[in-house]
Amino acid sequence: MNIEQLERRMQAESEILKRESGETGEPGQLRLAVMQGLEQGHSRERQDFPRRGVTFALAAAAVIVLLLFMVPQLQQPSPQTAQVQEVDWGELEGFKRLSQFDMEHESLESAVRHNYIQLIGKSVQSGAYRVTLDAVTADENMIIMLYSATTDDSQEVYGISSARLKESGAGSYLETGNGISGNEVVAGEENYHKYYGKRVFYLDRSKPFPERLEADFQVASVNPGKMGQPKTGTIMADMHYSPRLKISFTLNAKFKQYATRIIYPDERFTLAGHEVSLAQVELSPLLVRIRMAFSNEADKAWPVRREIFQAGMYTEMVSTVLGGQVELKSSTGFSTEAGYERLYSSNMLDDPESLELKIRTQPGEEDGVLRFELLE
Amino acid sequence: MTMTRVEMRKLTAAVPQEEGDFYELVLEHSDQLYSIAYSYLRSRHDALEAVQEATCRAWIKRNTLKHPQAFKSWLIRILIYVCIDEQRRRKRTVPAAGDPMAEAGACDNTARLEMLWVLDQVKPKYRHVLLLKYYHDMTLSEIAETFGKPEGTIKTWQHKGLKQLRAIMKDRREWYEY
Repeated sequence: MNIEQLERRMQAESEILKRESGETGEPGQLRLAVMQGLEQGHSRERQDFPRRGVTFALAAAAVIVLLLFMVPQLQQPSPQTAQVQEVDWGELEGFKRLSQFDMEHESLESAVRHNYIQLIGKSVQSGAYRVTLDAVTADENMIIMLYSATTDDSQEVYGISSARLKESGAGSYLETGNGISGNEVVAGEENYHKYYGKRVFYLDRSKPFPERLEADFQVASVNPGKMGQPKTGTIMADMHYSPRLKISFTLNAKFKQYATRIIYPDERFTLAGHEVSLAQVELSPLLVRIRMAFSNEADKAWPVRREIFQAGMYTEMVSTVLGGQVELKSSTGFSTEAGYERLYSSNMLDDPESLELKIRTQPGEEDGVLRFELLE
Repeated sequence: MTMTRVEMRKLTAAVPQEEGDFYELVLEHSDQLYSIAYSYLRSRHDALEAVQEATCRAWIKRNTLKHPQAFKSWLIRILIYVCIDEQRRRKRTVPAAGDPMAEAGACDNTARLEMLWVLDQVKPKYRHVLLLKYYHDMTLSEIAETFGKPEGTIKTWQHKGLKQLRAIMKDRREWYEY
C-alpha cells in the first residue's frame, strides 16, 4: 500500500468515524458538558487558592455555571425563623464553630443531632504535618467529610490546599462540592498549628453507593511567624506543602438506607415574563434539591436564562419543626438542560411538619413572593 | 489560523474573562472538540467528559493564553492532553467483572476502522498529526499552531508517521498471509 492509498483510507475512515460518533445523545449534552466544565473550573480555582488570615475560609456557594450565577446570592433573613434546640457535637465540637458559617450547617447539625455520623478518627503523618479524617456523613446524594490538620512548631498551617475523595473500586475521584475551613480559635486567638475543614462531595444516584473510599489531603503551611504577616499567601516562595496524605475507610452502609424522596409539584409561574415550572423536588437527609424547568425552548438560550435566573434569584427554604422554624440555606446550584437546579441544606432527619420554598421576585417586597409548600 | 468575527469581538484585549463570552467561545468549537475527543477515546460518554474537563482546564489556565487569536488551537491542545491522560488512566485500570470492554458497536467496526486501530502503534507525536489531518481535516498550519511547533516540523512528523503506518500495514499483511 503506498502513501496515497493510506491517505485515502484514512480519509474514508474519517467519514465512518463521524457517523459512529453520531449525535451526542440527548440534545444539549455537549452544551451541558461545557457548562459543567466551566463550573468545575470555578470550583477547582477556589480549592487551589486557600484563603489567608481569616478564622474560616468560606467557599462561595454561588458558583453554578458562572453563566447564571455571576451576581452573588443574597438571602433575605426571615424574621420568623428561630433556633432549634442546641446540639452537643461531642468529639466534633471543634467543627461546630466552623459549621455556623457553613451553607450546609443545617444538614450537618441535624446529622449530629440524630447520630447520623460516622466517626473515623484516622490520622496520617508526614514530617511536620498530620492530617486526621475525623468523621463523615452521607446519603444517596452527597458525602460530607470533616477533617483536621496539625503541624509541629516548625510550620504554621496556612490551609488545606487540596481535599479529595476517591472511590477505591472505580479509581475515580468524586465530584467536589463546596467546603469551609479555618484555623482553630482558642480564647479568641487563632491557633496556627491546628486547622479544621469540611468538604462536600456529590454522588450520582445512578451508580452503586460507594463503599471503600480514600481521602487525600495536601496541607499548605508557612514558617513560624508568617501567618501574622499581611502578605502571607501572596508570595509563592513562602509556601510549603505536605506530600499527599491519604486515609482509607469504609463508608457505613447505614447511609444508603435513606432513599431520596422525589416530588413532582409541576407548579407553573412566571419569572421576568417567562413561564417556569417547579418541576421536581428531591429530599434526602443531607440535601434538598429543587429543579426548575423552562416551559419554552427559546428560553434556554443564554441571555434569557440569565434574565430568568436573576428574576428568581432571591429564595428562602423554611422548614418547620417542633422547635420552631429553620431556614435551610442554599449551598449551590447548577444550570441544567431543562432549566436550572438549586441545592439546599436539609433537616429531613428532623421530620419537619412543613417545608416552604419562597421566591422573592422583587427583593424586600412581600407582594413579589411566590410560595410553594413542598411537603403537602 | 484566522479567527471568526465572533471570536475577534469577544477577544478584544486578551483572553475572554467574562464567563458568558468564554462559554460561548468554547461552545462554538465544541462540535470539533467532541469529534476529536471521540477519535481518541472511542466512547461518546468519555468524549463528552473530555470536553467538560478540557473546558475546566482551559478556564483555569485562561490567563496563560498569550495570543487570543490562538484560542481554538490552544483549546484543542488542552483537549488532546485530556484525552492522553484518559488513555493512560485506562491502561492503569483493571476492568471489573462485567464491565464492557468498549462502547457497544465500537469493536464491531475494527475492520471498517482498521487504520485508526493501526494508528495506535504509530509514535504518539506522529499519530496526533495524522489523526488531526486525516480524520479532522485540519491543515498542517493549524496543527502546527495547536502544538506550538514550526510547520516544517509538523510536515516531517506527517511524513514519518505515514512511513511508520505503511511499515506496520506491510507487516500486518505479511502476518495475515503467513
